[in-house]
Amino acid sequence: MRATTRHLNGGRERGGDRGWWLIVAVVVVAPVLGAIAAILWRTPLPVSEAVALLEDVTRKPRLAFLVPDTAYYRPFFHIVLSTIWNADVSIEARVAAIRVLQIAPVVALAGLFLLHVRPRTLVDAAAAAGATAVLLGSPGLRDNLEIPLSYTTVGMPLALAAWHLLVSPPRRWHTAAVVALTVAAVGFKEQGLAIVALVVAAWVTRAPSATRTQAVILVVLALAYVALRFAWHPRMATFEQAIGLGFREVSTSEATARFGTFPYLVYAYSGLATIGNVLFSEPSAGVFSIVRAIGDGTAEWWQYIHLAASIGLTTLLAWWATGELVHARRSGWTDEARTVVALVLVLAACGALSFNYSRDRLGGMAVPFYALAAFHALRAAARRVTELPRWRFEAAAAGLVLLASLWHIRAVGTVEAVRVTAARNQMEWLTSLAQRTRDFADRPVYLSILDSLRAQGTAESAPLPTNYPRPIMGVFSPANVQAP
Amino acid sequence: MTAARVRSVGGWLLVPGVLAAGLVLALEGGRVARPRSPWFGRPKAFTLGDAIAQHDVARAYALLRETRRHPDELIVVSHPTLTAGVGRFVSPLWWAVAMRDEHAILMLLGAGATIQHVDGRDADCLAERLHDPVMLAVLRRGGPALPDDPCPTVPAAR
Repeated sequence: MRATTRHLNGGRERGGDRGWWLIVAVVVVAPVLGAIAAILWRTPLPVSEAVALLEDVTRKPRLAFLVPDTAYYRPFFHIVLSTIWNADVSIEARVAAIRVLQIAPVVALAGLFLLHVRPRTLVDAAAAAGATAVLLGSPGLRDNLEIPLSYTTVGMPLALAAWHLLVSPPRRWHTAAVVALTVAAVGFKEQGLAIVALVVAAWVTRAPSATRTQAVILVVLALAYVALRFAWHPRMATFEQAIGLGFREVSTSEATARFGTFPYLVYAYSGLATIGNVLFSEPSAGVFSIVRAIGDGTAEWWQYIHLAASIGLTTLLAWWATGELVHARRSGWTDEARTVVALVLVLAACGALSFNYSRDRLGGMAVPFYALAAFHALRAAARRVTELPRWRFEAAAAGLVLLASLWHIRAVGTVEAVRVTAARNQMEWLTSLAQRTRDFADRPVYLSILDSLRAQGTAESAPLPTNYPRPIMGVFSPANVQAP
Repeated sequence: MTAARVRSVGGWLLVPGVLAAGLVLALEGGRVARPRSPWFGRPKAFTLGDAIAQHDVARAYALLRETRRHPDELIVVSHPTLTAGVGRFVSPLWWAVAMRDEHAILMLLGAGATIQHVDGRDADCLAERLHDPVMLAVLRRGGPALPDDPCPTVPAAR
């Protein structure tokens, strides 16, 4: 799929492995991905998010969602949800379609990722499996696996597809396709604008399918989009949601009172927090919760694993990126060096787009490119260590295997995380159904949706977290989420 | 030498992925083969009292709906200290407080459970006797106002 790539000995390699190493990578990745998909398939739609969204799409005409008169503007998501929910099929079929809207992009993302990196050797296959664990184990993906909120999970494979086209040999339809992918991603969520950063990265690094016209078109479209949003919604709240600051969360009202007159430093903090979360797993939603837990002496294994895996990988990426950029200055742009620039720009875009408040999910659009960089870095490091003297070779190889192990543990942790979400959704139905029926007594549409979804929400078959034995409790996910 | 090392590093780097895949396959396979294993769930409860004791709120809810019983209908329970190890009729809500299960309390209150200051139905009095302000707060938050009349006298045997 990729045109060429720099190789260990400075040469170039092409296909010829008949796809065996791609199959090996797919086989290694499939169980974790399949488990995530299977759990999402049985996850109850949550009371708190789903019912109100479905009430919206029941009450409003489909095209009304195109008017950008709300703080949260996701017209394509609402139109798709409306099409599903208002279809003349059974409730079970509609719920299944909503779940597919979340599952299909995740599977497509992992599939596209493996096709894009297209492993051709054993080292490639191992690096691809490790990088897919980075993709699946990152908080930016994990926080987006909440049914039915598929805004960013749709955008992530679209971004990767756009990047794939940009670095592929040029075709006449590539510009139109990249524009269409960007519009689709932005239509699902503002974070889709991160694709514009990718297009700029591709143009700056002279990627095969990138052109100045293409970059100009998308930058103009992005500016027009931002102008449209401000024109329709000129009075944004200073803080739309609670913000994280240092070691604690600050409520919207407190943040407005404390920082309302000059919120820009807090905006910068929130943007940097989102970037930091992608690179270091800290802070989470703006709060340094892992550091706080370590300081309090209450940290669990998973927290040490997240921090160590992210710091280790980001350090490796810094080493690899420096080498690639130095090489690019001397010999011209390679796919690897382009990936460095793409990661930097898409991280900056994610940071800028999350200025108002930071959440793990807001770094989602950067995650495929963090994982792509991880693939190149792991592969480069694996090859570099083979040139070291014996004892250093053994130590460095062991370090790489440890790093890969930590990320694979995190990917298994994502399987547990979606189980925990499913169990929480079910518990929410069981414990808050009556309260909501009372609270929303004057909203008949809400009540009828609540009633129609009750069976799926309270079904005994909802996934439950694994009760790991005490010695490994807290390795994959927080110990307190295990069943009592 | 270098080619052998490349193969060696590649092979070792693939091992964690293979182990993770094996772990997930074993866990998911185990769930299918033994869904009620302590790793994956709880033993299936056939009575409301057992479901509450096992903190299986979904099962308790299902049993309430399947049997079409009112959540105030008394159940027989036994507890080493609270019932001195002998069977006793209590309300499901009383039993949920005894098991300190906030979720079960909220589910039962949502299903229409009530509190009366008579022996075995006095869930709020039990929470006070257990010095459990959290359960008391859940009872206050999740249901109708608590009764004003005094708590029943607790028999000395208990």
